[in-house]
Amino acid sequence: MGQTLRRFWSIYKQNKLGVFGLIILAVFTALAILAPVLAFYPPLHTGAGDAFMSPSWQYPLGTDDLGRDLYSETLYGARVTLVISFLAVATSTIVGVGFGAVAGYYGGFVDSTLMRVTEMFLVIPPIFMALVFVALFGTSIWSVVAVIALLSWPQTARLVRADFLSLRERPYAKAARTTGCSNFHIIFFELLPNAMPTVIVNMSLTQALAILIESALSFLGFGDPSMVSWGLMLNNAQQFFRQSWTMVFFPGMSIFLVVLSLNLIGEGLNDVLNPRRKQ
Amino acid sequence: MVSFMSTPKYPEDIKGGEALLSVRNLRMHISTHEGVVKAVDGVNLQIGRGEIVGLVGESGSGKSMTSRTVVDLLPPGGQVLDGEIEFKGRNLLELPEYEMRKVRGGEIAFIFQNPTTYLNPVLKIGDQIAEAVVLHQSLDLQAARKVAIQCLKEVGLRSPELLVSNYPHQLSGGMLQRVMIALALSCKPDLLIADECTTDLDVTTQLQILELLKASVAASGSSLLLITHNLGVIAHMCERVYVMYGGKVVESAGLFDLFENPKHPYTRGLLKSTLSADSTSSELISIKGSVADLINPPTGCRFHPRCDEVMDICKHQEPPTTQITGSQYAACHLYGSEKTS
Repeated sequence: MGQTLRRFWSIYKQNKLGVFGLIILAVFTALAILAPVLAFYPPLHTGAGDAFMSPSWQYPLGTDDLGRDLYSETLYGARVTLVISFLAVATSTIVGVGFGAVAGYYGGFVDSTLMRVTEMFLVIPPIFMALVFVALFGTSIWSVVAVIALLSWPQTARLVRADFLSLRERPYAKAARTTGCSNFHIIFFELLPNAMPTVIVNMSLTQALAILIESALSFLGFGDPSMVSWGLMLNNAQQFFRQSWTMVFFPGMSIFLVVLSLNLIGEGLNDVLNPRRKQ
Repeated sequence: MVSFMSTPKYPEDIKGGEALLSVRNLRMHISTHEGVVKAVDGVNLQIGRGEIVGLVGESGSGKSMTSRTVVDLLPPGGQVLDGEIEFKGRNLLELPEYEMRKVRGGEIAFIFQNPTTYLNPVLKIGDQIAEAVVLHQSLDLQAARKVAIQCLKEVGLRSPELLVSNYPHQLSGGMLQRVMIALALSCKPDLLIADECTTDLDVTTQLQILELLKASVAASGSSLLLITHNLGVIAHMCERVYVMYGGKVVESAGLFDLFENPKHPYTRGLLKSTLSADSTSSELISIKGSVADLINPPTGCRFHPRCDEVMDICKHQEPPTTQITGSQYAACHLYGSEKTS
């Protein structure tokens, strides 16, 4: 295992942008983990200072409309945003790949059935789905994660299915059957490695989507009220951006940097997994 | 140079039970939008243990489809309508899928035409061979990788311990074909089916691969079914040959008989149109007409529109397979209508 990691790293580090992305993500992850230590105020602590103060030593990023310290909010927001988006992307990818791979490989009736199910989830209005979840399970980050996963997996499923429709015709897939491989083995051990570029790139896109959906849901009150996320801050800041540029800039910049870093990491991973790269 | 010293075996004459593979009256049709393709229409063939048998025909003659039907890998819409496939005493058509999976690769293995497309581009070749070994011999991955190295060595590849970590695009076509042969041989199958496996290679590599196949088959005692349209390959390798046209076997003979006394007009046409270093004529001879449409095949004998010796009966009645000598059979009205075989 250690040897594989070392080999992985020696290839990955050749992609400078990938390393850059990894650094950014590591920094934000560290900030998220250390939030209780680094923050000056607990999350959503109103009245820490006056509203719309400019950055100062006491309030490094300024304050928002209710006097909350933006620095502390951003740090705690990192936790929520990162955890929710990662969990949602992981779930959504697993479900989406499962559906897409099986539908694309088998075709016919299986494909039709699975795709109709997929489309059902595309058709459901997001707000309604959030309402139902909150009614059933209360407002919590798990509800939010579940709703985001349910809303984003169909896109992954469609992309993976498209890949598999062509992959199953490849000669080596047919040859694998002559060596006695079962369909399950071919789908997940022969063809899925060939579909990885699509899956990885799609994970980056889904992560950006997840952050956006989460921000909308939190803004409407479906998220855990005791937690703040970047999306919530950003949504809140829309009405105040004339009064305070810091309210908009820092959450927005953070979202941008995290999404960018995941994009770059995705590209780096693609490079590592591609057997045709220049050694 | 083919050796005529060893007497070819004719399992048609061997009583049932000694042939490794016995295909009788196999009929497989494929339903498509344009109609029903009668891809395999009453095929009889036998392969004995340790034999090298050739299956010759043009594209669309049904030779590849026959081999796929033996291991139940039918194309979409394909269905076996009739016939028996007896392999090592079992009727393969009655086997459930999970039993069939053990046969595929473990007892009957394939070698395909273009090794660069028939190997998974994102998996290392050592892992691809190990995968087959793990499937058929209950070994763990580590042990299977060692077996893979051994298999690569046996097909004449140098430094197999280094090669196992390579990806297919890093090897040449000839090396990859050896890898495919290693993969096929890895589980010690009883029957190897090589489907046009030298067609995409240059001539010198072709020869090396054929010699390798011959040696491997002799060493392991397995049988080899060589499917090709290249008569030169047949002449180099096979003991007996089946000639297929339009989904049917039109002639079967020992190697010498086929080349010296071809009986079926199609076989004669094939031999005449083969170029050789001795040919002095500047004209290319070919068989007139084009390959029989398998959806609406010609009535009677499927070859009759292209036949130089066509008679009236050929247009209406399918010729029965007639035994010409003890070991040569042809399906042609020229040889009377005694029903045999």
